Amino acid sequence: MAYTPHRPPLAESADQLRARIPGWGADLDPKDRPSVPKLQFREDLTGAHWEFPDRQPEKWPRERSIEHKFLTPVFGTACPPKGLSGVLRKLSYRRYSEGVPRTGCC
Amino acid sequence: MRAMVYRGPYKIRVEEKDIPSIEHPNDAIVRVTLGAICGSDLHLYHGMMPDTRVGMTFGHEFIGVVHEVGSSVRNLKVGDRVMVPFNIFCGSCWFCARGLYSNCHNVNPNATAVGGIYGYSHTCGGYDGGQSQFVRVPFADVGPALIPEWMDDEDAVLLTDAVPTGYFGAQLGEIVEGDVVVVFGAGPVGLVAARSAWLMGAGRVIVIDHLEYRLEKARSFAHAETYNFTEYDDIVVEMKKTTDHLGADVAIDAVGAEADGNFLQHVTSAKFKLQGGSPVALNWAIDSVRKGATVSVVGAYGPLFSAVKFGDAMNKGLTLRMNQCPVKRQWPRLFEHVRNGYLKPSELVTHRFPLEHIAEGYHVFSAKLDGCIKPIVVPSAA
Repeated sequence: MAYTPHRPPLAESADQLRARIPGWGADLDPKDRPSVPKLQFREDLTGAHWEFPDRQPEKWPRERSIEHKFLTPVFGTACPPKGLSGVLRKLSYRRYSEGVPRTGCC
Repeated sequence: MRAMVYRGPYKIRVEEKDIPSIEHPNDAIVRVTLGAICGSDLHLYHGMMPDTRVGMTFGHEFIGVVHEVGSSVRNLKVGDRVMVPFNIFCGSCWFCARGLYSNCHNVNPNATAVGGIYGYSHTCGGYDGGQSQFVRVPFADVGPALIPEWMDDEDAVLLTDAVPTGYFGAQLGEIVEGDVVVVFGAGPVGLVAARSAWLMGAGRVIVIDHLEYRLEKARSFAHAETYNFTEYDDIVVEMKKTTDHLGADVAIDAVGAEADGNFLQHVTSAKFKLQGGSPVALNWAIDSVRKGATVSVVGAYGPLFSAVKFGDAMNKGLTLRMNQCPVKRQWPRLFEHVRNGYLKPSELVTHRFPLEHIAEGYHVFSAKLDGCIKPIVVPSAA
């Protein structure tokens, strides 16, 4: 218990758990898990054959975070800003960093 | 083509839209054969995510057939059956080069704090999603993978987000043999996190929710002990009692922004949008673990601040670990686990809706009707 050096005992042993639960312990080694360590350099760049991607054509002035150095090379093109909400969005993106609430939910 | 379209909070419908076109040399256009509604889609549906625009098509869990490829695509060809991770990522930025695909810096101009996600508002890059007949898939040489011959389609579609996110959540918990693991939330992600905790050697796995049918699934699918928090005055005290007052070794928040269980948190987040989310589950996680424990967060929150108990987290010496899941990094191991029968993702599927009836799907999933755990969306062209 918490007030002594000992952990509370578990109801089932490892062998009992292995027998009851398919795959118990298959990823037992904490170092042998897909996201361990967090940063793992990928020599093959996961299939990318570029160091910096080609740039997607910008068909209208695409709003972007001022925390970015430039417009990202690839971006979504759904629902371009339009109307009054579009004006507010464009102004907000131009003026405020990401820590400042910028736009409403719709 | 037919596509789900957002018309405002709690309002969606299916409309005609143009089939997406190649906008970048490494794009592919994928004809969607199966999609899904994710619990995090409900945050959009409820109007919780900033810059969710009227006219957007949601959907970040989908599989399909390659319909068209851009001029620089080498790894895919027309007709290939592919599964597409929910992350849009370039493979080559500082973050992708180190395996943090969910944190890609080259795909989301709207924010540096989050990568690109299909159909997940302009906060996540402004990409239309896969609850439609066709979808644009950027960086086709990097993200998608061929669906193995032996894999069921429903297993494949759940491997595009829910399953890897749950598995990743268990990894973030840094579980070691014999750990007591508490999972908050018995939705698909929480159920997989609980199941995955056993793979990592947990000695005891507890799942907490307030929906009895989901707790039943936690017992059958994840072999977990369950607690319905509505049956206790204080679920944190209950967790202390059941661990001989030590607290759990690991807690996983698989709920995120719309947690129930605290009226004030609910009102200030879901109703008045004053917080990025209601961190009830996260605060319970912080308070339920022992000192020096690890809390893993895979529930989604909005970019605004949330009233999280950092004082308790600091005083207890907790390690808080969190991220959107880098899906493709999980796939080789998860494919093994599925093939070995350690995980059967399609067991989570409870409902199948034609795309034309997706509004009903959202309603049923959102209102937790009819025992809904995971709804699948079937486009009419499939």
